[in-house]
Parts: sequence; structure tokens; C-alpha cells
Amino acid sequence: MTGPPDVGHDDHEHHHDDSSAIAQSLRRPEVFAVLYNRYAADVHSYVMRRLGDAAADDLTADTFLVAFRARSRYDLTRTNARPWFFGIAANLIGKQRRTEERALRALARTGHDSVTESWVDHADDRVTAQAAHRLLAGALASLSGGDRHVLLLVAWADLSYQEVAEALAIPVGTVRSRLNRARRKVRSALGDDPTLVQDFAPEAGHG
Amino acid sequence: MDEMTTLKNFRPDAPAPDRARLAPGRQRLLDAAERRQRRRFWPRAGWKLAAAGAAAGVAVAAVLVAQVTPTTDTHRVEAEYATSPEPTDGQWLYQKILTRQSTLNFRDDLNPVSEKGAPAYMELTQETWTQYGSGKIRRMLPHGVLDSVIGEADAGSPKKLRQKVEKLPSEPQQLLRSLSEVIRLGGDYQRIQYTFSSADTIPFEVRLSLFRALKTIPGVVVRPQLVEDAMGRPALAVHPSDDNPFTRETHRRDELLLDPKTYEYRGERTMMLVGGMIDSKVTTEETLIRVSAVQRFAAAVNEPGVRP
Repeated sequence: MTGPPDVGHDDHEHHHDDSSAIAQSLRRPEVFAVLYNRYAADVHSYVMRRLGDAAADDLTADTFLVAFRARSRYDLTRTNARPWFFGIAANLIGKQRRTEERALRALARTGHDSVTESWVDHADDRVTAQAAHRLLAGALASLSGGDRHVLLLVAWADLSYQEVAEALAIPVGTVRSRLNRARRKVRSALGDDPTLVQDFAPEAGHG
Repeated sequence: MDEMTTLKNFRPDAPAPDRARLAPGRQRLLDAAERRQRRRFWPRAGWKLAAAGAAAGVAVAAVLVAQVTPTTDTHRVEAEYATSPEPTDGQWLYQKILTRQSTLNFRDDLNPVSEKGAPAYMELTQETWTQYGSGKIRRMLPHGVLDSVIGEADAGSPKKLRQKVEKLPSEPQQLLRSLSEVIRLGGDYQRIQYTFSSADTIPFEVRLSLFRALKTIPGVVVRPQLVEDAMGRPALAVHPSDDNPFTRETHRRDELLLDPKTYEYRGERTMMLVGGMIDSKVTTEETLIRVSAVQRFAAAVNEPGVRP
């Protein structure tokens, strides 16, 4: 990381440096922007996928502001801060839970996904969702907020169980039980046998 | 197709944001950082330098236990502390900063408690070399490789700063006035704090004058008892009155630590004060040291990457 911070978005090979940047930002607050360069695009895409285009810019900016204000509480032994940002984003997304669930239910009912349509330029390009996605949306809408966070952090943010535990500040055992419950519900909604949940072990991910 | 695959195929094409879209959020963050920085009284640092992670202070060590020792008249001056010899232009000032953070658990919005079985704190070390004459800064990367030049000291080279600081008058009010012409931002307290933390090779007499001037600033508190840093060294703790916006808002107090005899910079620490809210939700029951970053001037060396 020898260049100025605004040369673009780093890839994730600098994880070892996250806690260092956070520690430095305690004395030099502007250093925190390095972490924005690293993770804002990732967080933005995740928010986009959950809430749609309109919410993504503000919620991403809010995520980093909240993190910035809480940085003195960051656990410096965690060299990879990516889960931390996703955990904050999840909390903020949770505040729009009704909006998210309304969109999912509408998709289940009508086949139109207002979230996907938010980034499609032309009405002509809009497509009716496939049946499986309508069922899936209904199932996602019925999950508790906590279960939905775990499921989507694993599936969409590629966090490992341990990283989800760090992100949401819950024990890793709770991550497993929430994930199992969420998967059973989704599986059942898709018409599959809910007892056949296979262990889903994402790679250690970004650690 | 199992349900995880179905899920991964759901809304898979969310477009990645381009830089223009992310720029306003980044600016909001920088604005907040700048406000915080002003509040925390740091003269504005060169962005490139700061972002590259350079620390414009000096070397080492750490405080953690706040325990105090009974005071005697420890503020008395001992004039035999000599001026540090001035490095040559090509030499590099080695600086090591150890940041220690108490391992307190805030996660459940409860009163912060030490985590069971965890060490009392975790620490992070940063090492930099600043060339005395040029102000160029290099740093050691975490995997043990020396980074290329990452910036230049924001207050000018150590040599220039020393030259300016050496000329400061000793009379407190005159000193404060002159210093405000050397460092433009912040208030009197912040300027002196910055000078202590940035100019390590300044003569003892100047440090003494800075300390005397510091004590004349309205609201500045010199703790009556010495604190002890993690090296076991006694230190004077100085801070602005708790009746300031930063402390009122965050219930935190930032203290400047100085050697009680030589007035050398010993670092800083952040205290969480009794009875308040932190980040609007955590109530503290006792004053705690949350973050402690201490620097100690080590030495000038001839090459970057060399430790004294």
C-alpha cells in the first residue's frame, strides 16, 4: 500500500493491515478512508442486492461512518475488518426490515422484483422472476431478521461461520443453528425435503 | 439444485458501484474524520502521508495500568537534562509506536468488562524512519519488508521543526503567540501537544518552556498525581478540562503524557470516564484506559530499516 489512498479499490490482499489502519486512525482519523477504499464497493453491492439501488449509496456511507465512530472499540486482534463492516451494514439493513420484507413478498406474489428492477435501465428489460425465486423470496420474507442476516452473509457476502459470528457478535454455535433453521425453511419452501440439509461449509474466506 | 445454489443465483447481477458513486460516501467519511481531527486537536496532516500510515511522532512503549503513585513535588525542574545532540541531515529518526487497547467487551451494549481469559490488552506496533533533513518517511510493513518512501512529515522535516521550535521565546504568552505562527491550526493546547509529539530532538530548555506555557492555558489540567506507563516509568498526565465538546459528546478524555523530569513526550492515552455514555450506548462504571499509544524517541540511525 504505497500509493495514495484513492488509486482505486484494493483487492483483499491487505487484510493483515486492517487492524493496523484502524489503530492508526485512532490518532489520525483520515487514515480510516483506506478501509473505505478496500471494502465500500463490496458493502455497496451487498446492500444493493438486499435493498436495491436507492438505498445503497446512503447505507454504505452510513456503514463507514458508524464504523468510524466505533473504531476505538474494534478488536485489533482481528486483522481482517471485512466482517466488521458487513456486520454494521447488516444492522443498518435491519432497520429497513419492513421495506425489505415488503419487496420480497411482492416478488413472491407478483413475480416482479423491485430490487432487481432498481438497477435495470429499461422497463422492457424487466423479466418475470423464475418460479424458484418467487418461492425463495417468500421464504426469505418469513425468516426472522437474525436468521436472514446469517443466511445472506454466508450466501452473498461469502463470510465464513466464524466471520459471521464476528460480524454479528454472536457465538459461532448460534451462527450454525440460525443457518440450519433458515436453510430448512428455504428448502421447505422450495419444495425439497427440509431434513436433507447438507452441511454448507464456505471457505475460510477472507481471513 | 440445492437451496444455497438457488440463493446464490438470486439477484446475482447487482452491479458493482463505480468510483463516482462511491465518492460522496468517501467524502462524508473524510469530513467526519476532519471534524474529529479538529476536535481531537491535531493540526491537519498531509493526506498522503497520513493515509500511507506514517506516524509523525517518535518511538515506543506503552501504558496501561492507570495506577497512580503518590505525588511529591515532581514538577520541579532538573536543569541538568541536556539538549539532545542534533542528528545529521542524512540520518534517520527511528520511531516505534506501540498502541495498546484494553480488551473490553462492549458487544452487548453493557458496561465494558474485561473478557474472560483474554490478555488485558492487545497491542500493535508501528515502526517508521524519518530522514532528519528531508522529512522523508519510510515504514516497516507487517511482513518485515521496508516500504518505499511513503510521504513527508506534515510539519516539515524534523530539522525544520527543530529550527522553528528552538526560536520560540520562553515567556509563556509570547511562546503561545509565536507557536501559533508556526502551526496554524488548532488552539494553544493542541499546538503544544503537537509540538511535543512531533519534535523530539528539541532542547530541554524549550521543552520546559513549552510545559510552562501549557500550564498557563485556561482549563488545562496537569493531573496532581503521576501515572505509570507500561514501561513502569512515571508520567505526567495533562489534558484540557473535561468541559469541552469532545469529552461531553464521547465521555472520553485524551491525555498527553510527558516525562515528569525531562518533559519528553511519553505518548497519549484515551480514558473512558466514569458515569457516562460512550457512543450513545455504553455506560461506564469506572474510569478506564481504553487506548494507549506511546512513543519514545529512540535514536537517529544511518539507514532506514536499521533499529538502534
